Amino acid sequence: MNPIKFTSVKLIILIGCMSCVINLLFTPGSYGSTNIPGSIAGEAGQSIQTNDSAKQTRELAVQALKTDSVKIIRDKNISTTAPEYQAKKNSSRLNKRNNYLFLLIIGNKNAGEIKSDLILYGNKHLPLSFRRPYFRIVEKGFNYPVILLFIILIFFFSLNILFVLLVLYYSNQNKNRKDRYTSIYQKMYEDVLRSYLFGDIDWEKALTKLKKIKKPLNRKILTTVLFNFQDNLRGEMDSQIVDIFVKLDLYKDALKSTRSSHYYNKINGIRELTNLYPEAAEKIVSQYINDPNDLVRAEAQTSYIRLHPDRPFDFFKSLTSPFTRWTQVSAFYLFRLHQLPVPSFAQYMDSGNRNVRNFCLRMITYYQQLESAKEIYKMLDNQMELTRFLSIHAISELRLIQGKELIKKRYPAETQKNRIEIIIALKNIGNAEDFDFLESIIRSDSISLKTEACRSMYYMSNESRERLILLKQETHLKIEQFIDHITDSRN
Amino acid sequence: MQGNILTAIFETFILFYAISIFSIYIWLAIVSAKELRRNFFTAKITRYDAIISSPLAPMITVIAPAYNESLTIVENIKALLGLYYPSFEIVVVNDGSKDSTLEKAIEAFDLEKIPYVIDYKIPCQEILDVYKSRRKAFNNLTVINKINGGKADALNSGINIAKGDYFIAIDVDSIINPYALQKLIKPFFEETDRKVIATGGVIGIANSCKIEDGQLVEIDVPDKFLPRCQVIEYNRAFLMGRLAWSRLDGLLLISGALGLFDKEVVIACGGYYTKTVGEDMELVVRMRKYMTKKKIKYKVVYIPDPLCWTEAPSSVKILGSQRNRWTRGTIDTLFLHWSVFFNRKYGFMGMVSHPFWVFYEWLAPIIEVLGILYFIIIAIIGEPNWPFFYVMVFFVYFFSITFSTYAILYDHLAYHRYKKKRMILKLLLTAWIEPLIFHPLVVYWAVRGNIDYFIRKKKGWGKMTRVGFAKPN
Repeated sequence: MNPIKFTSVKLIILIGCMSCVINLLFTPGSYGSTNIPGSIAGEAGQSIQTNDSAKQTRELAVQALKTDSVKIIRDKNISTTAPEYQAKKNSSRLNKRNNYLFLLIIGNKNAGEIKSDLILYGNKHLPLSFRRPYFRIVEKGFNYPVILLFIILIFFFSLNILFVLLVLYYSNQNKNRKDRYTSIYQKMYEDVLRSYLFGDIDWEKALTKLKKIKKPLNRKILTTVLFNFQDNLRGEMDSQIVDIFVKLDLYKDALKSTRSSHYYNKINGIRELTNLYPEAAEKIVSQYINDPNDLVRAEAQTSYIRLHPDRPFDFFKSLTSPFTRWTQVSAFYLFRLHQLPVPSFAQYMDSGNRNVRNFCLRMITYYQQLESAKEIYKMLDNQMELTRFLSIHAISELRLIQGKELIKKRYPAETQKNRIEIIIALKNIGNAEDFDFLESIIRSDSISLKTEACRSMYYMSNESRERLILLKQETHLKIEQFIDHITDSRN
Repeated sequence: MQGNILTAIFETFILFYAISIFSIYIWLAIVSAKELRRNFFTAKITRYDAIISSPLAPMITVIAPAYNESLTIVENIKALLGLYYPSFEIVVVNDGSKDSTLEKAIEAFDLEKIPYVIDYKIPCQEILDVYKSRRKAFNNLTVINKINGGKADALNSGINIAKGDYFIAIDVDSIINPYALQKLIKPFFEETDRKVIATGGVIGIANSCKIEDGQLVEIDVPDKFLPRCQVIEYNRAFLMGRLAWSRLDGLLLISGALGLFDKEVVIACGGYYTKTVGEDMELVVRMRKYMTKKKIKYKVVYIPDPLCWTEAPSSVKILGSQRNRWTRGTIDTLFLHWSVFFNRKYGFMGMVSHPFWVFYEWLAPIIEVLGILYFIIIAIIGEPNWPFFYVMVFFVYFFSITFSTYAILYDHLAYHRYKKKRMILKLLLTAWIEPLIFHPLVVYWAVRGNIDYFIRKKKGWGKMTRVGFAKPN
């Protein structure tokens, strides 16, 4: 521990406490005015005296005032006499309610006891010069209970600040210590396990060199080390890594994590099992495919793909929950990373889950699954704009000429985004039959549609390009500008 | 007698106002803490490697308006080109700069004028030229030169040019976290039953931080007092305010320095409103209104990650000008969308968010000043209740420090940004001084903003000079 830094933290804590005490001791008093919330508070404080027990408290205070030390504060300010209280006693019901609230918090009898204790404390322990402001605060505080409440709150805040400072200090210390500890043990475990994996030492020896493996943190470090090995080492070692995971009973920790109520632990458990003990993971992952927690569900879905290389997307058949686009990206990534055999996505196209259908359309397009044409056409009538867009895109990318008339028919009823996609599709699958259609778009007002129509006409064929150049003669169409735009490959 | 009743009403109002403001802040801090904890764990298990190389990632357009940014433009564009995302384009909008912003960009990136047909989906000032680079390495960079029309207008021009389905609006002089795009797009991909229309992230203050090639290399606490106060202020605003509003689905503001938007919805709403200085907040409110009217379930998400770093004003004059503008922007937005105020049709936004902004963002400084003036009058003409006054002052002071200290704690636990104890200590000390010096200034500027808005009818941005992170070329 750095003593200088520790002192500075302590200094702050001290300043916090001291300022609180100073606030209390040196707050000067001036009585008898009505102002801001003070008036409400003041009246509320005065009505405290309507209670019998509070009267006793006051008597106690008066007795205390009779002592020598209290004489110091017996000046004009302390003249909050009984008649004055009596006069204000009948002020308002609201004030009384405030008063009851205060008494409820602090306790009817306790209020008096606390006050007399505070006065006694002052008499016994405080130097003479401090007593005057101290008694003022005590007297004022008990005349105006709201003040007391605020003082309590100030203390509460000070304690809070103190708490935060301590947390800041110790969390920083802990984090640094933990980081150091982790890096030391991670390096040690890596060295030992690497030697074992490369055959330099046998398991018995490795086991003796693996220190403190019973500690939960060290077990986590071990799992991380095994994860890293699995990412970086291939071949026979894959199964050896799984063996280590099992031999060290780390899979039991992972299994325990999957049963945790916290999603974070659950996900870590699933992840560890999937990567390091697939046999156990297979049984567990299926349970979480439709988990209500989005993150657990996503992890289970991607794990399923890893664990079932022969039928990675079969979970679609039992999927009743969303298959988010983020999970789709992760699933696709894993699928490509592990070079799994590509299934026919058309088989999932009749799924009731719209996310699944959209994903399949994307995959069909990506893997150029021409045999899925029928399923793609069906999706053109789907209610979802995105699904229709993906279908049009698939028709375009797969060059499904039979789909051309279908998308052209849909054009008038489509959204702007889908219309543009239809025009783009015609660039790939269009022919002379479509010139009039595209020309009608070029004559329309929409710049975006016009630009894409020009592009399609220009790149479809030589014939279409000539037809477009002919349109140049109609100067109001400004075809020249559009051609300049589309022929620059950067646009 | 009547005077007494009036003062009693005023005093009661002040008391309840103060109680409500403290209660709301505590409530927001608790909600934020929960959300921060959730995000802390989620961040630990989220893998972004999938999106980085995915052909399924949608295209994002980064729109960076630039006005007189010749000092930093080259470095800033370079930093943007280094973003980690598989499919993005950068559109830098030179909003009629009077300096050599455009020339420097042309020279540094080998740009040339290209023929371009512009579809003005949203009205904006005329786009004079569109530039692209001759070099393939800068294929995703477009610079447009347009007639000056202000930031909102520049953003609208960028939207008109944008090819992506989503666009990100940034301040060109801000430093964007290289991973910002993948983090900002994530919420759009996670929702299935609600359409995410916008996301925003935490804005950090980069004064005194070490910056190399437009990238943040080392984080430090600002040396100067004003930026340091702003660090605490931003922490409070982002980690203890906006995070909670996002969780409660009542977020009305995505900072102009960094926000990702659904382009289609923005175009359908008519783009940025150019006649306000609070265009960022105004757009979010308008988008939310649009979605409600269309009866489409939606969400505005806030990501508690420091994704953008900006240079905070370090001089009183510039900071004052900025705060004045923020105040005018807030008032403008609140009045432009007054129909939302306590309107059940708009759900949480109508019943809570908008009224909160009215009472506790716009009116708070005014009420604070009125309270102080009232107290001064009482102090002059009568005898105030001094003990009560002192206790109240200390109560407010300690509440403020507690709140700021928690903001520092939240930041520390969530990001561990300020690694050295010296840095935390500096911030903690600032938290003790800030309520005494910085807060009164902020209140003063906010009141000035009100005067400028209502009396002087000021509409402009005011002068905003930047020192710049990069050294001049």
